[in-house]
Amino acid sequence: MRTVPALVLLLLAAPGLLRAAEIRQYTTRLDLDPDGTGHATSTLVLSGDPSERVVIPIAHGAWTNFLLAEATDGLRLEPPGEKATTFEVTLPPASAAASRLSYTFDVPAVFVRADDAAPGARRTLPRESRTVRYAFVNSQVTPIRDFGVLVTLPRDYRFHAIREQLPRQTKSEVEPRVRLGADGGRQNALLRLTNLRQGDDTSMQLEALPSQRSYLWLVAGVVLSALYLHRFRDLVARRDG
Amino acid sequence: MEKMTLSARPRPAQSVTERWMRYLGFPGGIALFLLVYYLPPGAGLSAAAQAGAACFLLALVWWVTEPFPTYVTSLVLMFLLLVTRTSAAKPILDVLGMEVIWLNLLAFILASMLVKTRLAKRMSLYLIVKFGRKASWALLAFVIIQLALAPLIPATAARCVMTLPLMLVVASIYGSSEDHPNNFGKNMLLLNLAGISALSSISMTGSSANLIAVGFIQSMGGHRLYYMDWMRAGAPIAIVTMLVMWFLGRKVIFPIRPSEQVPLVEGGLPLVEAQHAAMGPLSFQEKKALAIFALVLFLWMTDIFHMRWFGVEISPPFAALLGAVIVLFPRWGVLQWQEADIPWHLLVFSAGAYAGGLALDDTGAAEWSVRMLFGGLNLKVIPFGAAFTIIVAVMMYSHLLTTSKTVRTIIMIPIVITMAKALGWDPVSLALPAALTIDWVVGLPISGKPNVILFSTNQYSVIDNFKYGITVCTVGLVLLVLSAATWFHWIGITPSFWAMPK
Repeated sequence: MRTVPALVLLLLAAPGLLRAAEIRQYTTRLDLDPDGTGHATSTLVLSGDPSERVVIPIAHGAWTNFLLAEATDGLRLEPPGEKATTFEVTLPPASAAASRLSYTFDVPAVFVRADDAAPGARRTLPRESRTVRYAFVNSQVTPIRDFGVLVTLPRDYRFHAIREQLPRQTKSEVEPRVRLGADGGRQNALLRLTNLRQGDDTSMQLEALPSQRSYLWLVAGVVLSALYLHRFRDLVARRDG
Repeated sequence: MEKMTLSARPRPAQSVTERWMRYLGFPGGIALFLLVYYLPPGAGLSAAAQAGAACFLLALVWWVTEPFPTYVTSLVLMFLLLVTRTSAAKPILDVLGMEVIWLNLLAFILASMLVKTRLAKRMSLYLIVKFGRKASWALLAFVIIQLALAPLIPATAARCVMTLPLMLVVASIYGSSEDHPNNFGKNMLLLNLAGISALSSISMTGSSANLIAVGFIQSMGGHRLYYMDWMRAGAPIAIVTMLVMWFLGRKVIFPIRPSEQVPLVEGGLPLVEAQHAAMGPLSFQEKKALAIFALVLFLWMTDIFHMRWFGVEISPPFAALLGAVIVLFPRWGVLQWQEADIPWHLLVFSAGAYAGGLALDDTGAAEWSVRMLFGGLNLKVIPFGAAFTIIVAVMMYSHLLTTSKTVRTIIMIPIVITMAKALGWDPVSLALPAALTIDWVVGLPISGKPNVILFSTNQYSVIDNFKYGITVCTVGLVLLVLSAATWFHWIGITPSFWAMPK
């Protein structure tokens, strides 16, 4: 009797075991605009058998203006339908070590204001704060060897804090899940994860603020220092006798 | 001598310099805060990390210059962490529930038991009668005690609190108290601090951070380190450093005058001997205290067997908690709650220090600083010995940037291994010596748990701690570099000191 479930499991796993295709690299660059929208460019490096069909998961459910930017000769792409979360590509018929695919799309309302909170809801962030959340699930059987998302802030904004970075860094991982950096005067955050199998997910949530800091601290600091130096001057007063 | 009190009174400024430091420390801290807070954003640094660094530096300046008592500075730091949005309220307040705070609280109940039953006094008098005819021998006796305890009790805070009553009573016999601290007291407390920290590097089981480093060397460096591999490299460095500090401390850093070389209690050593004799045999209360302390000590020493014996691990705070329950048990115990000398100001100071340290770690400020330290180095054009010196120096002094040994290990050891590989050196040649410095957290009163506990005795200042701690680290660094050129090379850990990268 025990062999039946084992056979069922084997049959279920067989397509995955036989499948040779893999996404070697899946990188997305998401440029945020001050108006809250984002422009994404995804670049994939795929490998597999000639003419093999591969289903690619898209990170954002709500996207517009999907455009193919670049593809290896012979690679065919079925443009995704509206609100689709995946699309299909067919690898070139001729044997190739790796195929390359690049496409762009727009993401509306990804860089949201803190005061966009629901009416009556308690505010948890300052009015000028904005957040961006990026989540991705590998919903397909094709494994992703190296996954990365680079979120770039508009000029005049900077990250205040990384509010979420999942999955948690394991003991064998040296690099943090999300690393901050900058390019051309714009701050960015890179989320990286390797070996995503079907069902694996990753996400990050970042809080950003305008780069210009309030001068309140400067005023308070100067006033407090002046008051202290005046009221505590007896500490260093010359002591006769 | 009867009482071991950790007073909350601020330490009075003793010299003109200290008074000026106090006066200028307040605006100085604020100026540093403003400077860091308003600096242009660093590429890899979040605004919260920058604000956290600004808050921590302000607190550091105030802890050093003491315009306020240290615990008030801690409270200010906790408030600043919240209002600059470096940390949320919960993690700031949660630090009072941290293991180290509980361990401090419970260990001070046990220490109060030792003082009340006069067991601490008996043990101290015994130490003085046996070894304390001269101050130098009394200090050496404590080095030997710490050396003996280090392999038995991995928890540095536990080692600290169990020897603290002895330190204070012996210090008072040599005339050092909170009101009138002298150089003997400074040597006593800071030598013990160095011993508790540095002697943890004798064995790979000396701290959990050591074991993490061993794991990295195996998983990333591909080299399995055995117990004796670590010990034959680490033990000579730590022991020789302690002997050097025993000499340097009392001769150079805090010179002990000839008049302070003998017990300063009225009547001198004969009186100490008479007092020891007058104590007679162990009383029932002392025996009870000894039994309770032995039980806690036993649980601290046997933690690796707990799971097998009890099905649960009784961690150091819970071993101390069991001891405290017995100590405070009505009729059968030896202490009433109001007799326990619990330094709440120390717990508040510790809480603030840990909140600041955690904020630096959680926001990534500590990691960013360490990466910046290593990032600017070009080690490809210099011989192994120079690279070794730089890496070990950065590792040794980096404890001033973060309060967590574990965080420092997790950030730095992988970087060192990666650098060693990139330069073509065996990862062990740089990673093992770097790992030997993990436990040397002696530079500041906030650098580790024992530091916080010993600083609360009010017998030395932050600057005293810094001066002594940096000397300890420098002596250790010099010995490590000398070892790299000789001993480590002979036993196959390091290549030739003058070898160039491949």
